[in-house]
Amino acid sequence: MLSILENHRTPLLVITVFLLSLLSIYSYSFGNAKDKEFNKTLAGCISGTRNCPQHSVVVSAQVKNLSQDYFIVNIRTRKGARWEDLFDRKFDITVFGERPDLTVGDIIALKGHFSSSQIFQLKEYDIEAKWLREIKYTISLLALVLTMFIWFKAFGFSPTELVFFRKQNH
Amino acid sequence: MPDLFAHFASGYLVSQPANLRQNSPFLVLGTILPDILTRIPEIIFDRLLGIPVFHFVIIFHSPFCLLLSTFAISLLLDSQIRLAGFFLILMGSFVHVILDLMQKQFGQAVYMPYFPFSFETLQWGLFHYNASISLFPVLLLLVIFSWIMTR
Repeated sequence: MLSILENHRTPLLVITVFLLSLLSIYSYSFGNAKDKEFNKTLAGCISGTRNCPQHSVVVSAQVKNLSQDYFIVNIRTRKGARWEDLFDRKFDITVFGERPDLTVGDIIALKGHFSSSQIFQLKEYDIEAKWLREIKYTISLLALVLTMFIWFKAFGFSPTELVFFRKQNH
Repeated sequence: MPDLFAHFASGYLVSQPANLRQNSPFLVLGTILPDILTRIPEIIFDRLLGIPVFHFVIIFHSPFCLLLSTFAISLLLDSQIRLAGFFLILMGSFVHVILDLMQKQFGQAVYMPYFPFSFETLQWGLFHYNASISLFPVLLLLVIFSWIMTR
């Protein structure tokens, strides 16, 4: 068994990577279709051209205005890199319910339901401070560096044979 | 996800007893492998370039795909360490998935442990997804202490 692996390393590697790529595409096609349908429903809901979801939903929003009892947001209905393109700014949505400690421009995840196309009843919210995300990235980077250090301290790499081997002194 | 340091510590700390230390690199790599394969492409493509790859890469948090990934990685190991490497990297990656399933995502769960047999997602909701950050100082001290003691 082990000698089969040794003798057919390259084809096995190629087949495995190919299989993983197929599984990735399978997952993407399912997930992307689901996301597209949800974003379409959401965009239709806030523009009044479609029925809003009757069940509880989680949406991403950017705070536009704040008031004592409610706040106004623009809902994210698109994907992309440019943050300013993601939110549907044609329609303002008024959020009632718990009023979190917010400032204009904050990005917030909202859980609740639409009582009409312009009104969202908030049940729960989640807001991740930028500094928290930066800390998370920094300590994650530390873990990555430490892992590489531990790995390359123990193993060497032979580019000709394309294998990691244990160093003699380890 | 719990932060990557929490995952790293979970593999590093359990592999420090003398009889396991030689295999520590495999276990440590395994405990961060799902995030190497998922989060790094996600940060680069999705967040920086705006190319949505989340659904492509989330499969690397499913045990079946981790089995295949670990198999591919083990083919890059010398034959003398391949078997041990395969099992320990796989074990580490399963520990990672279990820790991720324990957390509470906001909204729906995102991990699909039964993929490719089912797209069903699962979360146990035992702690907030950022809870591990508050443990970082303790874990860092434990890792430093363990490193000093085993030198």
